[in-house]
Amino acid sequence: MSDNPQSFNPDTTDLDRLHPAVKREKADVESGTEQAPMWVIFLGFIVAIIAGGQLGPNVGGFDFNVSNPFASSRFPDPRPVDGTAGAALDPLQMAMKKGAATYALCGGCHQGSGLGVPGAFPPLAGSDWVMGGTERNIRVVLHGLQGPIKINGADFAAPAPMPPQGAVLSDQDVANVLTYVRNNWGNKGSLVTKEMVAAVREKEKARTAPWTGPELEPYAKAEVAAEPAK
Amino acid sequence: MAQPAENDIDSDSLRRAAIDRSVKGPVLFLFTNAAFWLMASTIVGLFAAVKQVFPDFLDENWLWFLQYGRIQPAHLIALVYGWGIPVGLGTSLWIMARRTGQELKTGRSLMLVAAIFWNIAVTAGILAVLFGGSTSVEWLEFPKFLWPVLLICFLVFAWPMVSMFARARHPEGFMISAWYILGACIWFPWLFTTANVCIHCIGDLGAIGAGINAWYVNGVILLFFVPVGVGSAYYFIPKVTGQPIASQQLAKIGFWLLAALGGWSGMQRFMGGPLPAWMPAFGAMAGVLLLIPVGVVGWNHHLTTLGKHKLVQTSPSLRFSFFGALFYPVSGLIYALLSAFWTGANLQFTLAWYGFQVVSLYGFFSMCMFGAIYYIVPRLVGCEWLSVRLIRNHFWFSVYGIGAIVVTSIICGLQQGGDINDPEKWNLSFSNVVLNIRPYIVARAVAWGLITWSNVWFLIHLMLMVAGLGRRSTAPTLLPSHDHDDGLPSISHPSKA
Amino acid sequence: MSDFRKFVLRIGILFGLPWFFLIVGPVMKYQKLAPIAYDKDKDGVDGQYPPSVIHRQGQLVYAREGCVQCHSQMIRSANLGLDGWRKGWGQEQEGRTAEPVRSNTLRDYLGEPFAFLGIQRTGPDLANVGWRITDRAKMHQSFYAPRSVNQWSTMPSYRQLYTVQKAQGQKSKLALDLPEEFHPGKGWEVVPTAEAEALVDYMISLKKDYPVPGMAAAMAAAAQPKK
Repeated sequence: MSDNPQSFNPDTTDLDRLHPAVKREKADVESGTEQAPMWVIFLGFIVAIIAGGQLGPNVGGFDFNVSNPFASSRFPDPRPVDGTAGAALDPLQMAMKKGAATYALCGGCHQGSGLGVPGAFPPLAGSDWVMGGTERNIRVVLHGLQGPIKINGADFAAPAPMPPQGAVLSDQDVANVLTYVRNNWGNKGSLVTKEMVAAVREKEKARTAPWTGPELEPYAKAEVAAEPAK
Repeated sequence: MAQPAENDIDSDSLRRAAIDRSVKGPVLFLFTNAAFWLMASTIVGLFAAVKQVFPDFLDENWLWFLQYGRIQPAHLIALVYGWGIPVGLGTSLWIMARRTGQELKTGRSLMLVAAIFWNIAVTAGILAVLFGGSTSVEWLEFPKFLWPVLLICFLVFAWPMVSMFARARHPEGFMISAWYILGACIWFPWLFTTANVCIHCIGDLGAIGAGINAWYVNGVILLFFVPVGVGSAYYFIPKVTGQPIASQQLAKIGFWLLAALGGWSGMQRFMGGPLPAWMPAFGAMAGVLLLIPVGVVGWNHHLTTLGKHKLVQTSPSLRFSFFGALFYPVSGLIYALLSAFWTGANLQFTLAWYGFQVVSLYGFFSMCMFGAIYYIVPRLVGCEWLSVRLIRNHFWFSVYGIGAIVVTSIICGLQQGGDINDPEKWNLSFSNVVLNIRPYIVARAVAWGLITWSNVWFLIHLMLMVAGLGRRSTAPTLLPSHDHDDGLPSISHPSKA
Repeated sequence: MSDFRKFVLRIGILFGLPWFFLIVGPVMKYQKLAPIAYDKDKDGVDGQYPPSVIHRQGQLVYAREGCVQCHSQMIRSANLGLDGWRKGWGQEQEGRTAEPVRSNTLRDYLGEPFAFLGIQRTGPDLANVGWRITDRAKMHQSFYAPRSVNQWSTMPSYRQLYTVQKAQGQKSKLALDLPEEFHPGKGWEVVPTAEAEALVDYMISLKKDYPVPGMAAAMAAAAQPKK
């Protein structure tokens, strides 16, 4: 119910409509004048000390030309090292690590377990093709594969064609993923290097169509000459 | 306002109602526009999060303007300039008018014009960002020529507020809210002008320009959104609870420390980088020191609401303000973690910085603004909020959303930082970083979805009120005190508020 | 002085201090910053530091596309992060360096209107990406179809920077080599626009790890055991 203040006429005005809500507002009360408790001051000092710790050497002498006060410091190398100090990471280990990441491209068909899908996608684990000649393996990855093939004696009469990866993967990537495939899931194979892949790529640079089983027979046991890794 | 005698209550209320009527036009216009921008911004935020994880979603050739690099800035521009500043100005205007006990006598039409031009400028800015005019300067991505328009429109609102403060002859109660708002009115134009003049007009500042950019972004958060939010909380929490602010001394410490430290902070965003070393170091120090005013204000609000938790449950305005005030220390803590060298180095260039921006803009500032809107709007339109259900949906979905964003941003930041800085992975491609943050970006999308949903209810409710379709009643719309009992009828407490 | 004026003055001073020391001062100092000449004997190279400027046209495209949202362009100091030790974030792309890539300084960005230091690292840092790009066509391919290069990538596909045109007999020299699923189809080819070329030029110009004058001497001095 709105009040009827004397200075306004009885017609409803905005003010009358606004009035009730305003009328029920609580009055302001003078705020407390207590002292801030001691522990607030104490905590404040602790924060200030932590804050001060951000300065110190980080300030770089307030020099406009110093962006990094630690630029000439030598920091210990945090990266993991295998073997003697100063040696590069073992090429096989590096290839396995990187190959595992690249294998994500292959896992869709050949599965993470390397077992493939019977009848559709050949297995890689324990496969005689994988453990066979690198000449064949590199060609399969670079240009793809189609048509019926025989893996470990089992027929893959109408497997899905394997898409070529040569355009998508660099020589190093192909080498890594082949090394991984040849050394994982109980396979005991050897290192494939990028020079080997490059040599095959160069030799077969005219090739556009995917390989078929019969075409790859001559390469079944052939190894690419491995140049000493740099 | 001093304790009024019986007869004075009526004339006192009439005076306050007159003040309300004098600011009604500009404030409602700002609130309405801001609410639409909030809706737009949250939808775009949801979409941006989806695009970051599924870039091929809606990736037709002709939809090239929906790429992440364009819609993410659009999302933030809408949130900051479309929602944040207008709603802040609206709330500030009302609070300043009430606190100084003065009506807004002239300049109303000018304010409406300014608000319209502000909208035009923000729209133009967002369209420009989407269609190829982005400057890629964080929070200043709109084309160079727009900033004077925004500045002038802001000053049209800020100037009357400053003069109201100047003319206040009887400091009405303890003026802490007015201090914060006055501060915001001075700081924002200063920040905005400096950043734009340096980056766009002086130009060619290389890495210093980037440093100024970081200083600006943090400055706007610390010296506009924080003061307006805190000022609003300092007004509404005592107002609704009827309790005094617990300690004047703490309030003053909180204000002056913020004023002293806010300008020093920001450049620690680029710690370890090209900026002269002492600048990020000072920023880091200020960022950690800011824990003091943040903690002090949080403690003050806690003391003020002690024993009044029933009211927190029933009053929508107090509920939102209380929650917002609760988020102030949370955002302050996150800021300190981001600023200190030891923890911040790991969180640098991760989602944690975006999380901080959202927590302070939405978790703290916006919740305080919602509290203000739920209080102010009935007093401007003369009717009460229609539906308890709409308010509850708005509140709870906002809480779920902002809670999700806080948690996912921090954890994602730790994950991302850990992956980027992990010595074991020094020679691997970025694939593990990208794949590992995926679930957190999905969570971010879900969180924005929840927030969008909450704002649907808010927008509808606000539109109904502005159209005058609220409840005609003298009793306020209160939430039932035991919330999730949907079966029970809503209990409206007798008019104690 | 009235309370109001005192209040405003206090705020002005408190904010004015950082404004002056963090903004005004550094801006004035920066404008006087000039390249420094190398000392051939001490630094091992000729010329001035910084030796080159980035490709500005390309940087405009970089800004327009919002690349800064996901990529940073600064190598951090080794005490703060792994940046310098990461493979490929400096000149050495294949092997393992003995020293980390150096952190960036103010002069590294001399000549840039605005340094896009970065908002987030959803993708690798680009400060020294110029060394990573050996093949322009590959770079174009990763802009046109990022997922054809890195399947896990969430980078947007910037097809608006490329034109799909009918193949006129011989394949155009500039046409991209794309795997089948990303190819527009038989009889069509994808050719970069001028903007795409500018962007690649800009990326190639991003090399910020040339030596800092006097740094070699400073590091040698630091390595000496203290007396």
